[in-house]
Amino acid sequence: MIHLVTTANRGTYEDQLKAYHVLRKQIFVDALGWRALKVVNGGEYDDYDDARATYLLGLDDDDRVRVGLRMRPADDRSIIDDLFPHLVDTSRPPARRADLWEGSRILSASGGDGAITRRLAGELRIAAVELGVLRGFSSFSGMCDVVHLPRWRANGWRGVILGAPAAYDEGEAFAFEAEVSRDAVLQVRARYGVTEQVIVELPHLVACTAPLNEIASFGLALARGQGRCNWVAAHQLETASEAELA
Amino acid sequence: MSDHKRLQRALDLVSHIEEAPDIDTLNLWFRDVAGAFGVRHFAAVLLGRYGHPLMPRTICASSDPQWAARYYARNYFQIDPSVVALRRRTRPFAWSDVERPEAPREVKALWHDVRANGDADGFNVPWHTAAGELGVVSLRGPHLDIDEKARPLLRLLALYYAEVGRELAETGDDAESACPLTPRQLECLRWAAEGKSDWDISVILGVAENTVGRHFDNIRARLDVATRMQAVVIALRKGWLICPWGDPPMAAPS
Repeated sequence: MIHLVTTANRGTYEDQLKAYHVLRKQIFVDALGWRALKVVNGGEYDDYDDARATYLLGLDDDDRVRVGLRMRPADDRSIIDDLFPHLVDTSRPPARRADLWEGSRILSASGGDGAITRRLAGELRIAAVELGVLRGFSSFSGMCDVVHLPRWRANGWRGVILGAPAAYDEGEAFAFEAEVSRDAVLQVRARYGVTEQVIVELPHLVACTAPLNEIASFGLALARGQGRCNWVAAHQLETASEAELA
Repeated sequence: MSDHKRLQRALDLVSHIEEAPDIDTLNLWFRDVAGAFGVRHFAAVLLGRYGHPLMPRTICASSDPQWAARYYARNYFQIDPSVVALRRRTRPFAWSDVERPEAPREVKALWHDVRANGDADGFNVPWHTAAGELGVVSLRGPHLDIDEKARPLLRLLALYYAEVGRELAETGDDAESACPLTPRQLECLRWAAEGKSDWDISVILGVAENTVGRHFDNIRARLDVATRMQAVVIALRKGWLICPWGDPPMAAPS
């Protein structure tokens, strides 16, 4: 299950979003040494963490962030078009257009239960494509260090490399676009042995004492019971407690 | 060929290399493009996982049986500075990055040997598979012409070559990897790769000369080949020539 975090429900995920930015700092600044990044209050943020950014977060049963990915429409700006346009061959359409979103800052937390993290990492890759179908964009772009080409190929995405890779401060990277379509969703789900939607979009929850995965599971069951294919929670859950959910 | 043209051809190959129907075609396509950068010989070799003894297994390569036989028969894998460097590098490196004037005599012998084979220059691309195995794509030639602009693209292409080669090897005629030869037969094959005669091998192994002859008869029958050199090439391609019961493999770092 992957939680979709937008401006509408960020209040529900205040702690988790903060944890995601802290993980970004640990991984991209501390571990990978990306010098150009900004650290604010212990977390890594950049200009693309704005009101249009959407986050996909995979949580364990204690609501801790195990995997995360930022997705953002690329119609007004994009990291590739703004900072790395040379990674896109001139024969390709630009990496900034109306039907394109951009994925960035994908991460997996270290430590904890490796099996849970690996499962969520697979679901995260599914969620990126499902988000495209839900939001109506036709592809999403991203960048990948060349050293990770084998893992990128094993993602399950229908991806194409946009141009010759080039050196950046800390490595060598290529830009790619991955197809969004129902067939692409089925393909990436099959890659991880998943048969059902992984994305869940909770509303803004004013107060809740139950773990978010439990609330989301309840919402999913409710939505399925009502025959809804958009698995948003059926009710605006203003308050929820374990007693009410039981 | 102009710089722009060879880079464009390399980029074009990236976009369709996955369509290679078999390893021979893959090798042909890669040779055609990499040759513009001075690459004459190349090989994608899997080494194993960290924490386990490294066991080289050639996945796909240009045809260079004499050097391959020599490299494995002389156990150069155990002393090769490039193999040592692979354990701590994720970025590609040239031979010049790891060759040292103060190297031990046997390492200098390796460098002398590879250059006597016609390859004065080398470029190694560390290969980390999605399954967590360490490997390398080795590019060699009399003079490599890989500038800073070409380096990332050639690295990407080399990794694609290795990955597609691995997939073809797993699903094609080379899929069967179990070694049908006995340990003694492999020993005979290793010495044959070194150029030893039946009499030499009988002295080394402490057996009768006609016993060695029978070993080679059985080897040729099991591998369905006409000559012992053909058997050597097959054993090298399938990674049998370095075997667990032979010389102890280099241990992975703790």
